[in-house]
Amino acid sequence: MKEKDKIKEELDGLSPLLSKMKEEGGQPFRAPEGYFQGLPDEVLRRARAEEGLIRENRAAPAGAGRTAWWQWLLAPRHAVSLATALLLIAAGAYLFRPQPAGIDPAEALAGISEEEAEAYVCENIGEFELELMLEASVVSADDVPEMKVLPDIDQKELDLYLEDLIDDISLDELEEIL
Amino acid sequence: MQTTLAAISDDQILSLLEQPRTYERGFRLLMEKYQERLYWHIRRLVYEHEDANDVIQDCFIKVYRGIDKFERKSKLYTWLYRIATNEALTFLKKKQRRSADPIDEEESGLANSLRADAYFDGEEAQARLLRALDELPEKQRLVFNMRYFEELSYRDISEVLDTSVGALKASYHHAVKKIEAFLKAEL
Repeated sequence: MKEKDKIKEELDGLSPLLSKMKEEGGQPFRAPEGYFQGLPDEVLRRARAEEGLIRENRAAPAGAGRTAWWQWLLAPRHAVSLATALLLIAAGAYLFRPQPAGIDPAEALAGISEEEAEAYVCENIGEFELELMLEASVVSADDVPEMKVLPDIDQKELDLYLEDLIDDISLDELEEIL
Repeated sequence: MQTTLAAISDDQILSLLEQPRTYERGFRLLMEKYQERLYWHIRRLVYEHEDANDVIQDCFIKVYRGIDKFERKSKLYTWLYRIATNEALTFLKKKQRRSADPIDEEESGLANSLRADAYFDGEEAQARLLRALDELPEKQRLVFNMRYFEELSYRDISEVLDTSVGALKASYHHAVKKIEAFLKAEL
């Protein structure tokens, strides 16, 4: 006996009402037209897309071991660590660099003649501090008063002197000065 | 088309699925051969077409990825039925969790589903039968569907649900009696 017949016989025995309904009733649901023609393509499209994503995800960790060392270093978290380490090494090298031995001024000037030194000082006299020159005994304290450009005069007297000077000067001379 | 597909044996499909070169062809044949049976099986469990479409696609994707797990200890289609059943039941559980609306006695989930489904055009008697089925416990409903609508043997149902034939017969008998009582009460 076929399975279909067995099922009918069984149902007839259990519930004639349901058996009758089964004979009368068809399929209460229906699928959209052409649905089954398109379903395999739809599933395959999805399967390929998901398989592609899985492959990409699998490829990433598998390839990581073969990544060039410089690519590994350029990864953001490694790059920050590397930059910090290099900065610390540079700072250490600067702070603990070997210091040059102290230069003795007398030794440094040994090869320079007196005339050359004097010529250099005269040429750059404006660059030297007065106190430094005194300290270096380039000038003596006695010479200092003579080096004053203006004698110690009162500000009032100086202003009167300048007024007289301006009065005496002609316009032509003033234009020439300016 | 159906004749050609019916003539293709499961062994032929499985041998195509063993080779990467012929895998897609084998898989397409598998879908074409079993898609309608699986779709209706799922549809009777989830009711709406859109839901059935989601579930059958998920089911076939699982098969696509896991055909190597099929050990040939059972028939290919009972293995497919098992996957489809599990997918449909998982879907229903998720859907039940998502549903936050209070269930009204007269506006049950099934009633709304059938009203909203453009692809349900059953008569009143069929709608009543579905309402009766909706009242059954999950296992009885599954057994009833597979025996009454899909006409599977108890042996095949046993492979799908991993339940003894004796227990399945008892479930089916109980289901039929409950449905009959429901229908008589509504008349």
